[in-house]
Amino acid sequence: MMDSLVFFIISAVVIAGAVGVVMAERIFHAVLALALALLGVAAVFVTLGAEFLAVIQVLVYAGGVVVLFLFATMLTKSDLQLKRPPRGDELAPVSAVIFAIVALFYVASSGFASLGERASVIGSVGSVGGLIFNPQAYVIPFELVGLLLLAAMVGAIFLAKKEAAK
Amino acid sequence: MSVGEQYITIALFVIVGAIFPVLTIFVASLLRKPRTPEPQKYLTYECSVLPFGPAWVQHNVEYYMYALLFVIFDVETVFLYPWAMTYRSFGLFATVEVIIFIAVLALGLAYAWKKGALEWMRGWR
Amino acid sequence: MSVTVFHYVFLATVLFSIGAYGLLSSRNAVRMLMSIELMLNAANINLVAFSSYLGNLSGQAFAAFTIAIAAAEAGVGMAILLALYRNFRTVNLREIKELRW
Repeated sequence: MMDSLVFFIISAVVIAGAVGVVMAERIFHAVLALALALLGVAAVFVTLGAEFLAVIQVLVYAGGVVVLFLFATMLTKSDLQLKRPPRGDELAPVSAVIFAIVALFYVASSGFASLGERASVIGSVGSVGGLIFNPQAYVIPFELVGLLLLAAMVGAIFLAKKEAAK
Repeated sequence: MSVGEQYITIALFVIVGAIFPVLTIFVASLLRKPRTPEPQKYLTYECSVLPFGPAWVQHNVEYYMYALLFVIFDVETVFLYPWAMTYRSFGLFATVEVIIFIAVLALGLAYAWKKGALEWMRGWR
Repeated sequence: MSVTVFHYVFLATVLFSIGAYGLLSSRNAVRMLMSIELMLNAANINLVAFSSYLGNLSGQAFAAFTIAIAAAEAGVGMAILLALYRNFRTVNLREIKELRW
């Protein structure tokens, strides 16, 4: 009982944040709503026993990516969000809504609920790290993440720094 | 067990932290409401200077450089933490792995240094 | 009534749909990138939920990689956006008409 109450409160926070991202009139408020949604997702991870992921979520997403978005909003000027899509653009939101209905219907008709109780594994730093650094497990993906971060850093600096080079 | 007992403390911190700013701003709005209203009294307080222009000023791209490098090295640090926790069980292999990881990202830092992304407002001096 | 994996998948589906709606309906590039982050988070919730209910930690390791990739994606996406803003003085993607038929 307590579990489902906590779950529904956290879900409400996540969905409120997500709706804020999409609907907020000013882009700055949307970024703050994004921070709320991301912190809510961290709480979802905690309820699933994924403690390491919850820490990463707060450190990287709420601490890093949101700051990136804030700086990008401060560096650009943007106009207000329209209350409804401009003429000729209604097709895109309608298709998103149709997608949502079909996906929710599929999820509801699937047998996911029969999977039973949660297994009592705790995704602690040690146990998830034991998978990442295990020679038999995810060594190659880990090094590829390093390469990807290098590529992202070089690419982003190259794109954003062009002004000074001129 | 699904929600550990220790998270109740964190939940309390979150609740108090959410209520505190709302409450203080509400009390402050009760206390400092001017008795004889004048338009000047509703201006944003700017240390005795009248505010001018919009609050949304253009910042320069150096801010973005700092945020970008912070995020990249944030991710690097997050992956170093589990390495420290599992050092005893994997030993040399994991250490070599992490040294390669750090070396790859050090290349990126060298590139950032060479491009002048670490300098504040190049060309102003 | 206990919380099953169905509840988490349902939450993830709702989150993904809100992200898809934001991606399709907004004209601001910053908001579109934020919607993509929402969709990535929905995928992460799915990964972690199944990992937790099946008792297999691989899903959590992959979610950790996903978060790292999302950070890289946000960095590059925002740099592209800044380059775009420098050339066109707007982040409204409906106003940028070049390279479009």
